[in-house]
Amino acid sequence: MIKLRAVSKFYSTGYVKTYVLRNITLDIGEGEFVTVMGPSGAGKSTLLHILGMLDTPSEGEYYFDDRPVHAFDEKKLTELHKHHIGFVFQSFHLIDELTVYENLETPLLYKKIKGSERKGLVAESLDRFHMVAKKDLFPHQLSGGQQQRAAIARALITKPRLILADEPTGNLNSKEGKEVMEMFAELNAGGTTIIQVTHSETNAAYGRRTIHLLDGWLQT
Amino acid sequence: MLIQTKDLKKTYLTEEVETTALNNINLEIGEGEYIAIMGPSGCGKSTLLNILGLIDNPTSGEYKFLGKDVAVSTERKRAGLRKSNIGFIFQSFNLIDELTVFENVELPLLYLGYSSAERKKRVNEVLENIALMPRKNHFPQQLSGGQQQRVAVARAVVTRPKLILADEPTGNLDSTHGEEVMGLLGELHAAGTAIVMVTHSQAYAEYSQRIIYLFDGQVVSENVQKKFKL
Repeated sequence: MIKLRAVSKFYSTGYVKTYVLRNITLDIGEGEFVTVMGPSGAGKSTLLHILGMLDTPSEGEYYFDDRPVHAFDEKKLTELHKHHIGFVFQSFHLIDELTVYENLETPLLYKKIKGSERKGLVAESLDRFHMVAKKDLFPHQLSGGQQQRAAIARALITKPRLILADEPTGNLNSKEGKEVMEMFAELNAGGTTIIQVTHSETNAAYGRRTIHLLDGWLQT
Repeated sequence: MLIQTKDLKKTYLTEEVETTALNNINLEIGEGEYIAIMGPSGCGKSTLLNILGLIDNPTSGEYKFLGKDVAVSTERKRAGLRKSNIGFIFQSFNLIDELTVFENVELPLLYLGYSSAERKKRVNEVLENIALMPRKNHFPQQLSGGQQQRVAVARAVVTRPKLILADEPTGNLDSTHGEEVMGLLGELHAAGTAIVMVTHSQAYAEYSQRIIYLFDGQVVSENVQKKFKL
């Protein structure tokens, strides 16, 4: 699914190049559950953003389903991102003036999905994430864990093939964090590919492969 | 009158202890007014803003929005009033990561049932105003904090609401971007939009016409700004 070939990312300030990622070569197959670990500033989030097509490599090649992502223009990147990728962030970005139901529905409004089918998908997602009783509440009426569940539910409602998670449990207590990780494990068992960035060994244990980054280099 | 509250009260019951978040709030806010709400953390500022914005209910008391009694009306009616009259701006931007800048701004128009041509026209117009046209196909995570908040402002105003509620809109921004957002709010006010803004910053509060100070859930003083005094 994912092939990186000698990918580097650097920022130029004056005559100085600051490298964030160096010469990364990496293959990730469909259905894998991969953990990316490393100290702060190692390049983990940048790697995730490049994989998610929110950022582009300075050098090297990125193939997604054998398509040359590094050669795509912005419009094509946006399309590819929207069709295949769900991003889960540490801080949940729910819209405060929309109910849980409406928040979940938003990504579907842009996919030309019929009203009845939309209702079905939202109902299914509310059910799966144990949010049925909360559907008419606003985000500020939920606990932190419930808000993160709703945000994850929204990121996944379009059934992306690849989930990219950047410290998804960073703002949660251990019980809520465990719930999120178990959800990922379940989705992965159903065939979804997951790449997570985490500092937590406990969370890393849910993945089946861990890769380590240090100063932008992939450690082997 | 845009907003009138009488003896508004909000209490929370947690493990059999009753906590009073707001007590005895009597407010009148006229159309086109620019109000700042100040007070220490936990004084009830955000709760008040949520109630005014019809995303929370008072425990008791009266609340009239545009002359309509909304303290006890149905969620359907409240949603209708909210979606067509109120725009929200929050400290943490609250943009949807899965949607592009254009789609984030378009969202409130979808809920109001505007045609696709009208939506396109309005979104392009506001993106032009905030100088973010070149970014319209980007995702929120590809923008700086200042740009994200400008998108949030665009989404709040795209429906041309009568009232903008802003909860610490500059809280996550550096001073340059903070002033940019305050400038946008000032322009909206000049165009006739009422603004109620919660802020910790005395300097930003002074952009408003009237400052309301809250302490322990009660209004302790009001201060009409000299430069705006009629």
